[in-house]
Amino acid sequence: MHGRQRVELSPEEEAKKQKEREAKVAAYQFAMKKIIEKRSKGELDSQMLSITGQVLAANPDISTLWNIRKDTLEKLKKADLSDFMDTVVPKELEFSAFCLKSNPKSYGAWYHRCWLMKETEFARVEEELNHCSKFLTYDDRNFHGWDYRRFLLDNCSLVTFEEELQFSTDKISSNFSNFSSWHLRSKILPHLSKDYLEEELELIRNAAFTDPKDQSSWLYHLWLLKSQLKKDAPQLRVLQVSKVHVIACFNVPVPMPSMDDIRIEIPGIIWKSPLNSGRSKLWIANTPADAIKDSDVQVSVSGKYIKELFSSDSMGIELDKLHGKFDSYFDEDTKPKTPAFDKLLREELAWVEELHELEPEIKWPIYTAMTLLRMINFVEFKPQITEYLDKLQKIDPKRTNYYNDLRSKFVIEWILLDKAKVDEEIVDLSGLELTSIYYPERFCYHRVIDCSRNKLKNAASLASFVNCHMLDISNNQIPVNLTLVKVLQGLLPNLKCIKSSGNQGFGVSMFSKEFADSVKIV
Amino acid sequence: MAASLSTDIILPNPPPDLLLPKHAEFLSRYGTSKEDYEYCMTEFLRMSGMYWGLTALSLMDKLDSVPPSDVIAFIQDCFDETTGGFSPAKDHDPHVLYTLSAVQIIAMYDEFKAVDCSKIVSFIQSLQQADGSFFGDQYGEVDIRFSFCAVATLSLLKKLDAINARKAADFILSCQNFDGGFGSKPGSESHAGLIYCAVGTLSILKEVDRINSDLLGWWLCERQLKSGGFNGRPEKLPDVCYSWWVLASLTILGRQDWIDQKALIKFILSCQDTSTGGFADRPGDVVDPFHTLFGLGALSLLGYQDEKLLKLKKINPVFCMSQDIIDKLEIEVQILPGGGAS
Repeated sequence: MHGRQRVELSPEEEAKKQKEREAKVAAYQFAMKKIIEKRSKGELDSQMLSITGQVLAANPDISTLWNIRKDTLEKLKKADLSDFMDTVVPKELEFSAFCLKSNPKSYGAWYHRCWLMKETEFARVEEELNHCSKFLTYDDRNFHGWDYRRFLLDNCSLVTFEEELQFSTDKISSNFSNFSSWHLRSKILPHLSKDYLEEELELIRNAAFTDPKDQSSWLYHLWLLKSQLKKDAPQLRVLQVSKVHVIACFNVPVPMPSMDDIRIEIPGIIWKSPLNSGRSKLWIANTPADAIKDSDVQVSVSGKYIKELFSSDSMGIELDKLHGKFDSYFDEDTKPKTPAFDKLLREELAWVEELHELEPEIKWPIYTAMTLLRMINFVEFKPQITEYLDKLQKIDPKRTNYYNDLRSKFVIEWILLDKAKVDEEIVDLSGLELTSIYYPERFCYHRVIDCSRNKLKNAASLASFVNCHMLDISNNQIPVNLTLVKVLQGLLPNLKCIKSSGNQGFGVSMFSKEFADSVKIV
Repeated sequence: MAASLSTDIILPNPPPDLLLPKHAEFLSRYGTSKEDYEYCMTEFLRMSGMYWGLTALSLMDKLDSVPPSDVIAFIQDCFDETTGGFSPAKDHDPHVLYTLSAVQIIAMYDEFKAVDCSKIVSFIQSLQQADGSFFGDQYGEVDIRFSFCAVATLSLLKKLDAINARKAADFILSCQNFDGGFGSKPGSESHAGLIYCAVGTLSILKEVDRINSDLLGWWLCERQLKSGGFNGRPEKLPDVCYSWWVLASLTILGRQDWIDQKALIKFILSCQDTSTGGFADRPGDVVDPFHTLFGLGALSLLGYQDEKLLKLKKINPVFCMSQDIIDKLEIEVQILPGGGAS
């Protein structure tokens, strides 16, 4: 029962209500009996509309009764098309509107309108749009109403995208806190030919200054800016072929590479992602035994993903050598921007920070400023980004673990660009309060990885450390479970030594004897 | 009674304990009087009502309080031999919503021989459209909820290969929005209940890694309000059922810890009716089996146990059924590991 308050009734009131309810139950059961009887006899007539109408008016969620009405209406349509169009349909629309007045969220009543529109080939679409607009004035967040509007627009050419944008603007102007309307804009903008960005940003600014606590315009703001950025096409970044395995690492998650994506002159290669996910940045294949005999043999690779890496379609590569390198950015946000877009971001940052100074305890300006700084230059603004993150942790404690993970992600980004912490062989991620290891694929080729003295909460990321010989995960909060054993024992073929003290419940006994014999566990 | 604010509520303090015996009593009593007003007026969703009540009872290990033969007889009564679908109650029309509920109950009682399951598979098959979406029944309504029902039904019947799974997933992704969430159809606004349907479907199809979990996870954890409860969309009131839709989705995405679990527990406990048993959407409102299941389900996902160490059975975040049933059927869903790995 959504939103129905419990009420204490006096015995007299209770008795009266009980009587009313008994009458309603009797009426319902009587009507249903009659309806079923008529249906079984095929009596789909105006009387059927009248009886089902009485029941639906009291309870418009009974979908079977809407079905019976549809069957009846189809029959009436066949019998007399002009009467159907001129008399029956208007009445039916009126009836659905009546039901929606008492229950504006009735799926059945809304769908009935859609069905009527299809049956009449959208003959009354203009009236319907007006009806819908009226409906959205009663409740401007009723998603059924918005969905119906979209259904009409998708099926008729009367309303242009520009007009629809204006409708959304009017709605927002009367109530900025209207996420439904902001959502609609996100769907319309890609269809507009003119440059809308400046006007949109102004509308957002007005909304944010009017009610900075309302997340609607803030969510839309970040999306709008990010949607201007072009996504990188999938490309191979790092490739290593050895007698043990083939490692292929991409800039974005890709499905399992096919024979056409990466052609390697080794028969019997079967790709696997570290955690068996369907999409991954990292793909690994075991090299079949004796497939490569000489250590100085060259393997040829070709395929659609390798163009950027080798600047040609096909190329011989050396065994064991790590080919290629990773980008110096991590996603569209951190990728260097054009001067014009950089200028725009700085302008946005200026008003957001101004608003933050006016309202220092509200989180949305802080979150937005942090994100904008990261988009402008995530290395240069490290101190400011960190400061904003600290503020968010303080004023928004409900989401503290989200911010911990976000911080971990940023810290790893900074570390990855720091040659003192990450070189070709060794990674030092110790003592950084990391709760998660983001970008684990970037550590696929390191031999020594130190993640000690952090707050790591699971072992899943470690599955990408496929070249690791020496792994230090001591003093963390990694729960001892099947994932941990599976990752360490089954997925890291080169492991020689693992330091694991200071994780509760961790011990040699959790591993197989074979593993414990071959790997030094400290 | 809770004081109402425009987009949140203030909880009565302190919250009551978890009143499991009362909830069991409330659920077993529900529907014993067939002439009862509420019971009659909810006939159109009876099959789902049964599933909510029975699942909630099974989480409290009290399934034996309802005679199994009555349940199975009801299921058989609601099976439509012609289409292969289940109706919510006798003399109502079959629909995919009630077909899933019926198959969930069948799985709960391990009664797959109660009806001809191959007909159910044909029914689901007949509902899939060229774009991968599903009709709810022959009358042609499309909704992401129906995708979830169709895919979950087939998974429980071990017949996922009966549909075009790839296209089913493609349709789900076509409902994704700028905020990372999902709506009921392509173009519809994001809504936590529909996000659950989307993420759940992708989990069964093992395609959760096709979505941006950090973006969606952030939007989902922003559903938590000061009161500790979750709303389903920005700037709306909290409601116990969103505890389930949001938390189950975050669990599948491996980001259950992104919310304040203690505050959520307090909110859920406050929605109990301490005299009659059962949970309401918000403190002080009328209770029902729907909110009772989703309140208990969320507490189970959080591994909640009270001072007397009373504990609920473990629930599966995708099927919203006791985990031991899913294990017995050897159904594996995709749960992302979180922690930066995905």
